[in-house]
Order: sequence, then structure tokens, then C-alpha cells
Amino acid sequence: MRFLALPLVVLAMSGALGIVDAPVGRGFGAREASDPLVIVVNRANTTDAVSTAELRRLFRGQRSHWANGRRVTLLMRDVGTPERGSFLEILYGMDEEEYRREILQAIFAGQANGAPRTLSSANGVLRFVFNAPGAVGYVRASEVDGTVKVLRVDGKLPTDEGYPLAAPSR
Amino acid sequence: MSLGASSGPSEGTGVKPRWRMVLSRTLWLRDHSMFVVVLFALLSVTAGGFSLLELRKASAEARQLYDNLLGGLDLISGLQFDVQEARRRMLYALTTRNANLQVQYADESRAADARVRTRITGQLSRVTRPADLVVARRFIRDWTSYLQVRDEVIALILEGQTEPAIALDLRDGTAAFDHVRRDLRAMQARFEADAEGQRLGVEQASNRSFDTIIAILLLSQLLAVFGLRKVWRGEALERERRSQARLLEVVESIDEGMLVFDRAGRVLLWNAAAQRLTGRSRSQVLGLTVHRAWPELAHTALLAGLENTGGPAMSPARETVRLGERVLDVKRFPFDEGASIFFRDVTDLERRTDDLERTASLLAATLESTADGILAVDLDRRITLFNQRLLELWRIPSERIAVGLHERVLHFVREQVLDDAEYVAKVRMLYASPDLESLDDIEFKDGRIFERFSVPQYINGKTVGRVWSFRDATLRRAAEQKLVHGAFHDALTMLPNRSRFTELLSRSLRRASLDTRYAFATLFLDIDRFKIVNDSLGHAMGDQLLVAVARRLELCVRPGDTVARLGGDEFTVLIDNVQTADDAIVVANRIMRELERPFELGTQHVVISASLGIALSSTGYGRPEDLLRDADLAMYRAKANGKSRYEVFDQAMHAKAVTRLRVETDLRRAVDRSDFKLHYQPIVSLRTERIVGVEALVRWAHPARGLIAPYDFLEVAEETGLITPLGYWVLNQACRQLARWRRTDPSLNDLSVSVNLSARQFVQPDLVGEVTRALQAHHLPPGSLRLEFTESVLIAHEGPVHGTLAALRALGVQLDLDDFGTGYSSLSHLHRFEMDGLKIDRSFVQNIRDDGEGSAIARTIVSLARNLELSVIAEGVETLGQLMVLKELQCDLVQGYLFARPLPADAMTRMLIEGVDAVWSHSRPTDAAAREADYL
Repeated sequence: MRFLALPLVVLAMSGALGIVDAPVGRGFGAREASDPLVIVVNRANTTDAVSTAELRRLFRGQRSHWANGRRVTLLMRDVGTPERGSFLEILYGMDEEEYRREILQAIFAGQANGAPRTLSSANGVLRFVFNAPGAVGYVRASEVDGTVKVLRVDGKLPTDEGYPLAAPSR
Repeated sequence: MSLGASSGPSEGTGVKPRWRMVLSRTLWLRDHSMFVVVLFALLSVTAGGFSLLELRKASAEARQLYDNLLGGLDLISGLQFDVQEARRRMLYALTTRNANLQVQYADESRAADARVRTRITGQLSRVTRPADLVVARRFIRDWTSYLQVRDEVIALILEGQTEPAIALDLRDGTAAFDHVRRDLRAMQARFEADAEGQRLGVEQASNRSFDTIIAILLLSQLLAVFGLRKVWRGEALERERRSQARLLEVVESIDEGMLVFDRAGRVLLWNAAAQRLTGRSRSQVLGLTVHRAWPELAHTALLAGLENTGGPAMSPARETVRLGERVLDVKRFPFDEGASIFFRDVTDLERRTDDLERTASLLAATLESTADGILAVDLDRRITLFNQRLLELWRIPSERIAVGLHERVLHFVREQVLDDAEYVAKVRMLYASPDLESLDDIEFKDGRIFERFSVPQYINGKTVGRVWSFRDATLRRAAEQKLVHGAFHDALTMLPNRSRFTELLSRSLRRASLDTRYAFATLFLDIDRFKIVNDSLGHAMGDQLLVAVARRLELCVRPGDTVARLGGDEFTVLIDNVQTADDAIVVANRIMRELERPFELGTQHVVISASLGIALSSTGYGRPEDLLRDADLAMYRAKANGKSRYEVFDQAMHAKAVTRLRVETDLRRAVDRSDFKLHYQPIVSLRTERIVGVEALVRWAHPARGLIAPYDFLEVAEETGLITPLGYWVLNQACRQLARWRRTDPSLNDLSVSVNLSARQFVQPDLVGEVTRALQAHHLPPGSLRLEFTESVLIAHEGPVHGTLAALRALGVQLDLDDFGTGYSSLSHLHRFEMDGLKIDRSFVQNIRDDGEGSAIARTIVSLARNLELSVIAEGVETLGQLMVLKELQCDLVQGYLFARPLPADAMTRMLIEGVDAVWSHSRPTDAAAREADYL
């Protein structure tokens, strides 16, 4: 058991420092399971909650502006990241290739409001959202900080039972 | 002399008291000398103390002022760097499409902003003078409002709206940033004023200390007489030395280079920063003239006065001096004994300014390089931005437009647009609804077409103005029109095609319906025997002829008229504004005359003629198709009447056309609803004298006109193609009825039904399939169905019909050639197409008189059929005499009023059951017209 002690301490410390929001002491498996994707928007965004259906529409570029008039900017993670893969699977039910085709098609048909912008890190997503009032992206729940706002999905917070955006596999 | 004279006489009496007076004063001095010494000593102590205080004060003041100066210079330099950094990083974000980098630049911009805030907050806590506070607060206010713009620009950049971001930064960002820079300059000016004050302070302080030292020295000199000299002098010098050293320390520690030279230009002071910035050590330059110590300054205005007058100029001066790679900002402050020079390194600052200018010029170039004319206005409709392209597109003289002017000054441009009122209305509407986006086209009087795109400009979700973008779409529109032209024009002759002509007809019809005085004519033209030209000279020549005809037709009409080609050799002309038919006839005559002149096609001379039909709009048409149809009809009449002529569509034609139209409409509905009935006429075998078959004859059960015989509608049905569904209905209905009869009585098992097929039905691809399905649906043997058709079927469609007939025959269906003897009566047809029977036309049968006269043709046909092993049916048998002759001729089958007129199904059923005997006793109608109608 000693070999587990150090990582646990690190985890506990990072939790205490606010780096990791996950409850301390539930172990890695538990942490992974309770680390779902959260949808983040700018704090000035008046939207607080979305349904899965709205989210799907949003990320398909079918909604161009927020309620407050800001243009919607979609943020995706780099191709091949677990977050992106999981997001595509949960929200679109498609793989990378299908998604790429859909986006190309939508842009070609002039239906999508610009292609999503791609960021390579969770911090990048957070900073982008912080800087751009109309941006919407996704990060793991443990990566969220106070600079952005987390949206309820189908009325549920990431910590709630039945939150629809499950944890991405590593 | 006078003294001697006066002293002489007075020596005896006056000398003694005057001398005593002088003596007594000297004695007083001598007696009070200690008092004087003490007095001087007290004075010197007082002066010494005062000078000491004065020195301390001067030194402290100098230190404080230097502190302020250093802090100030550091602050300004730092602020300048960071505000520019904040802006520059934000602009960097414009140079990449990589979201990660953009976010990084945004963060760096924010970090620089955080540093600005730290600096200015620290400064605020130190500021004591209200005026400084005002300057600092103004800076904070302006910086904050710039940051608002900056944040919005960043947001726009991240959202991918590069052009709005650039526009916003050029519009609001640069202005706000100018304010920030102005504030920084004001702060710098204050610090520089402080520096000047400090310099004066130091000067005064040193002057004061110098005066004090002189006083102390004098006093010390005096006091030394009393043994105090040494003590005083030592302490004063020590204090002076310490004060000087402290001043030097300050001078050495400041970040700006400082040098002082005297009136002769000799360098007296060269601080550490000066050594570092110029790379020359103090030992190298002290004592040299400033020209030699720092040659780069020699040609600047800073030393100009020094050379000419032997003393420094009396005014402060400032100049930027390049020293190798570096750029120095050098300031001169003269004073009586010489001048001091302060300088600092502004290389980075210069470079940053350069960078910023480059970025700004990039933005400006972007705006200028776009092919769109761009105009941005605020909510008060004042111009906030525009580019040169806008001026070019709208032909705006550059003196008419400037940022800040009211947009209304541009209203003269609306004179260029085609629809002035609409343009103004649209602009008003858009300004009235600031949140509306719009994209539309503007047409110009000179033919140009602009795409106008107008979007609201938002800051933090609030509308602050509107951006107009204009794009010259003339070329694109021309390309589109070319496509449209292709769709509406005939590629061969370049004349308008059918769709275009129909459209023009619609337009003229609309006009005619509104304006009773307006009338026009439609002329339908068909080249006579064009097929022969095509067949004999080839299609290429035929095409050439069509083009040549088109060109001649164009010569025959007035400018407002339209010549079109509907296809093939059919041309139409819309003759505008005619009063009577004569006006149109004049044109028709001209056309015929013109077309009769020989055409020269290459080496060939071709002579043609044309038939023309004319329809006048005054007849009162609603649809262009009707007008065309009537002109066409008139043209056919012209052809029928001998070609190379014209016919005007008249009221009789019109009435007929209207009737036909009504029949067509009704017939369509009837086919949809199957408003038909079949009547049956028995076919009797002369050999057995029994009914062996029936001929199915269609009747139209018209809801208003009752039963209508085929004569009144079959032609229309043929022309409209309705014959096809109708024919199939008849086929199926006949088969159903036959099946019913066959079920009714086993004795009717050999009964057959004859059904007429039209030529049109024969070219339907699935005739054989339809027949097969009808037979199968009612479980009939193929031999029980006889199909009748006329010779015209064989002539019109020889090739495909051959296969169809063969297939039908293979199926087992019997085929009878109807109306034989009236048409071609071609033996080769009879030979080539395998058939089962011939039907002698009723006219030949009716010619047979009871005494046998007039039976020659019937006889010939029967004999022919017999030789070809075909069965013979005689129709239209009305008299016993005819019957007897036919029997004698050994005709196989007969039908006619003699036996029965066509009967409804149930009456026919009774006749079939009652048997053949009833046939002979059946009453016979005599109305010939009714008979005629029944048989057709």
C-alpha cells in the first residue's frame, strides 16, 4: 500500500489547493468516474442551463447567437483527445470522420456559423471562454476554475446523479 | 591747507577735547574688545547652526526630489512599456488563426495590463500633490476605457470576426489608446518639470550651502583668532564633504545618464548611467570638452550654442540621438555656469512604436486592400470609418467625406441609384431598426449593381453603430444574366425561345387587360416543306437556313416587336400595338415577300415559302398558350388552304376552339371519373346464324349532355392523349363484361369481344402488357379478344407497330383491320402484317342494293380476304337484300342495324340469352343520323 501513498498525498494536496475539484480520498477510479465533461461559457453569458438537444443544436452550428446577442463561438479540443472523442460520441453519436464530414458539409451548405475553433488544452479552453463572451466549450469537471461559468445540462450539475455528459475514457 | 590753518589756531584750545574723544573711543574698543569677540563668536555660532540646518534641509530635499524623479522615470518608462505591450499583444492575436496562440496573446495582454495596474496603484499611494493625483486618475480612467475596447476586440478576434475586430480597433481602440498615451506624456511632463525643479533645487541648495560655507569660513577665520578656528573649520568641511558625497551617490544611482559641463564645455560630471549608455568611462572624459567626450553630440542642436558663443544656449533642448544600434533621448538644461545633460535609452520604446505603427498600417492596408467599399457610422450617423474603395465605388470626391462628418453629406450619392425612393426608404428603415442585418442589391443608373451588406456594430452586446459594405456585383450579375439569356434564348438563332416568348405574351396580355386601347397580334410561322430542305441538303444546311430566316424575320418587324423561335421550323412574331387585323396582315405580307427571295446558303440557292397564322389579342385571351394555340391553328388552316399564305384566326375558328377546349376539359374530368359506358353490337355468323361476338363501342355519359357518341370526342381524345387511358378503360371493361357473359351461360363460352384500338395506343410502350393483364384479370383465353385497328396505324408507325402486332398475335389475340377499302388498302400491308380478319367498310356495304348492284367492291374484298385466308366482317348491314348478297359472296360475319343497334350491356345480355332467333325479329330503327353516329 505504500506505493499508493504518494499519489494520494499529491492528489489530496492538489485538491486542497483547488487544482482538483474532485472529492478527496475516493481513489483514482472514483475520481475518473466523477470527472465528467462540463460545458463552460463566459461568465457574462446570461444562459445558465441547456438541454442536451439544445446543446446538440448549438454544437452543430445551428444557433448563431446567444440570448444576449453575442455570436456563438464553438470550441473543440484537438483531434484525438479523449475529451473530444467522448464529446463527439455523447453529443453527436459520431466518430471523428463522420463529424468532419458533417461540419464540412454544413459549412459548404452555409448552414453552420463558422467552424469550431480548436484548442489544445483545457486551460486554453478556459482562457478562451474567459476572453470571448460568446464562446462555449467543454472541459473535465476537475479542470474548471472560477473564470468561467458551468452550464447545467438537462437541469443537472456535473455532480448530480444522471448528468448526461459522462466521463471520457483516458 | 585748511586743515593746517584750522588746526593751528585751534591747537591751543580745541585740540585737547577732540583728541580725547578719539582716544576715549579707542579705549572703549580696547576695553570692550572681549565683548566684540564674544558677539562675533555668538553670531558665528548662530550662522553655523543655521547653515547646518540649511545644509541638512537641502540635502534631504535633494534626496527626496531625486527619489521622486527616479521613481517617476521608472514608473513612466514601465507604464509606457506595459500599455504598449498590452495593446501589442492584443494586435498579435490578429496575426494568427491558431486559437491557442490567440488565447496566449490575450493572456499576455492581460498580464501587461495587470502590471500597469500594479504600477499605477503603487504610484497613487505615493502621490501627495493634488495635481499629480488628477493626472494619475485621468490615466486610470482612460486606460480603463481603452481596456473595454481591447476586451471587445479580443472577443471579436477569438470569435473569428477579424474584420470587425480591426474596424473596432481602428475606430475606438486607436482613439482610446491615444488618450492613454497623452496621459502618459502628461505624467512624464510633470516628472520632467520635477526634474527641472529638482535641478534648480540642487542648484539652490548648493548655492545656499556655498554661501553658508563662505560665511562659516569667514566666521571660522575670525574665530580662529580666538582659538576656535580649527574646530569650526574641520566640522564644516566634513559636513560639506558628506553632503557632496550624498549628492554624488544620488547622481550615480539614477538610471538616466547625466553629464554636466561648464561654460567652456569641459565635462565636470559623468555619472555611472552615462558610462553605461555611452560606453565611455568617467576617467576617459572628465576634463575633456564635451565635443570630444561625446562626438555624436557635436552636430546636434544640443551643443550648437556652445560652439558659437563660447557659452551654452540659454534654453532647454531635447533631441533623439543615435548611438550605434541604440537610440537615446537627450535633454539639455542650461544654467549660468554651464549645462547639464540627461539622457536615456529609448531603443525599445522606438522599436515598440515601430511595431505598433507597422501593425496599424497592416490594419489600414487590410481595410484598403479589400475589394469592398466600407463605411462605418455611429448611432448619430456620424462617419467613424471608411476606406478608399468606398470613395471609388460611390464616386465620392475625397473632400466630401471625413471621419466625424454626418453621414448625410453623402446623400448626393443616391442620385446615382436607379430607384432613389426605394434606396432612401431602405436606408431609413435600417437606421430605424439598429439591430437589423440586411443584404440586398442596389441598381445604378449607369447599369452597375452593388451588393449592399449592412450589419449592426455591437460593443458588449449593445448596438453602437452600423457598418455598410458595398461590393460591385456588376460582372457577376452579367454572368448570371448570360445564364438567364441562355435559358430564354434559342442557341441556334439567338432569338428568344418559347419560354421567353410566352413571358412576353403574358406581359402584353396583362397590359391589354389593363388598357382597352392596347392590342397586339401573334403571328405563327411555319416554313413549308422544311423537312425536304433538311433531308436533301442536310441538317447543317437546314440550321443555316433557320438562322437566315431568323435574320430576315428580324428585318421585317418594328423595333418594339419580337421574333422568337419556338423550335424546329416554327417561328413566332409578337406584333406590338396593332389596331386592326390589317396592321398584322401588312407585317405578314412583308414577311412572306421577304422569305420568298432565294436564300444563298454557301453555294446553294434555296427557295422556300412559309405559312402564317395570325391571332389578335382583341379576341380576349387570358393565357398566352391560348393565343399561341389559336395562331398555330390559323397557321394550320393556311397550310390546309394551300400553303404559302396567311390566315387570321376568326370567330368561327374561335368558337370551334372554344368548343374543343370545353370538350377537352370535360373529357379530362370524365376520364378521371370513368364517366363512360360501353354499348355492344352483336356480330353474327352467316354460316351458323348465331351471335359469335360483340363489338364494344364507347359512349360518354356526360352529366349535362347525356350519352355522347364517339364522333364528338374521339378526335379530341386522340389529340390530347386522353385516348390512352380511355382505351385501356374500354379494353378492361369489355373483358370484364365478356367474362360475365361467359359465366352466365356455358353456351356463350365461344363468344368473343371486339375492341377498337387507336393509333395513339399502338405507340404506347406497354400495349402488349396491358392486353395481357386485362385477359388474365378476367381469366379470358386470348382468342376471345379481337382487336380492331385501321390502316393508318400501320402507315404512321410502321417499325414499332410491326413488333407490337407480332407480339399480340403471338399472345393469341385476333387482329382485325378496320374500315378496309377506305384508306390505302395496301396489299403489301396485308401481306407484311399478319392478321386474322378484314372489316369491309360500311360505305361499301351500304352501296349494295337489294338487286345486287354496287356489290363489286365488297365482292373484291371478300375474294381478296379469301385468297389471303383472312376472315371477313361486313359492318353496317341494314337490309335483308344486303344480307342476301353478302351471304352469296360467302362473307363470314356481319353486323348492323338489321340485327341490332349497339345495346347497353343488360339489353345485350337478354339478346344473348334469348338466342339468335331474336336477332332476325329485332325491330330496326330508321334514323340514319343515329345509325351513322352509332357506328363511328
